[in-house]
Amino acid sequence: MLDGLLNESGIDVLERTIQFAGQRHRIIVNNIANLSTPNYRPTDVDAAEFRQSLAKALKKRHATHPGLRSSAPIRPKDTADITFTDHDMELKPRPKGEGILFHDRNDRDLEGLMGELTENTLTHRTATELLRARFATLQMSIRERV
Amino acid sequence: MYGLLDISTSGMVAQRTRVEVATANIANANSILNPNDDNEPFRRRMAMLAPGDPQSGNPLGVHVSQIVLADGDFRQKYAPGHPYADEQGYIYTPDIDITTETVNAMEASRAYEANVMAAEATKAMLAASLRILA
Repeated sequence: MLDGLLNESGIDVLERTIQFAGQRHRIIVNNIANLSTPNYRPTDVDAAEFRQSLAKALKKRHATHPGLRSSAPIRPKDTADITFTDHDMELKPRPKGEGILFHDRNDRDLEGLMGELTENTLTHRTATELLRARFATLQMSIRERV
Repeated sequence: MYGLLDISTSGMVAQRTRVEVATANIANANSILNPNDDNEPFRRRMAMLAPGDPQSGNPLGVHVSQIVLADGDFRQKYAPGHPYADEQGYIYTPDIDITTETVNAMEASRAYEANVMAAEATKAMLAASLRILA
């Protein structure tokens, strides 16, 4: 019953998004720390693939559990970089190889990294704010008072 | 999420060391004596960065693996009458290019700023996560 209540308003989707943003942040921060390390190649996971996998899983749940009573927890399919488990995920970052290779054999892209950092932080912030709002609604219904 | 700030901190420490090395090179660009007052020109220092943290075994982050002294010839400067001049009247000064060192220091300070930004983002994310509970 609690599962149904919690999954109904997309809390599990937000949970997955926060998990992903949190783990990806570690990768981006590590890339920034190694900006001038010789032979280091910045790594990343494909965020677009994560979003697609999550959207597909959400669509599937709507199809199998129509209406609001969608109590089945969401379970996105694994992508090339991400392995999903029941309540967690594992990211396997790979070298991107997109930037210009410098003389120290590091293909850093500072602007790209900072862009990703900002985007990822905003994704995390949006998801946490939405989750907060969901919890506030739940709390309100528990208290039965506005 | 915890341990995230350590990664940015290691980056800041490494970049600060690079700036320190560059400024030490600039400061000693004309040092022709060693600390014991012998005639041995200063050798240019270079900070070698490597990924990971060998002390904690964390594969993420960065550390200064060693500070290497450049080998190679010193610059010859004609200064007859100088107390340390050789028979031909030459003294030997460190092979340090101030411009190169300044550019290195600038690059390192920009990388330091990038790490500060990353640490700020980490702080914002941690604060947002904590606000869910409150």
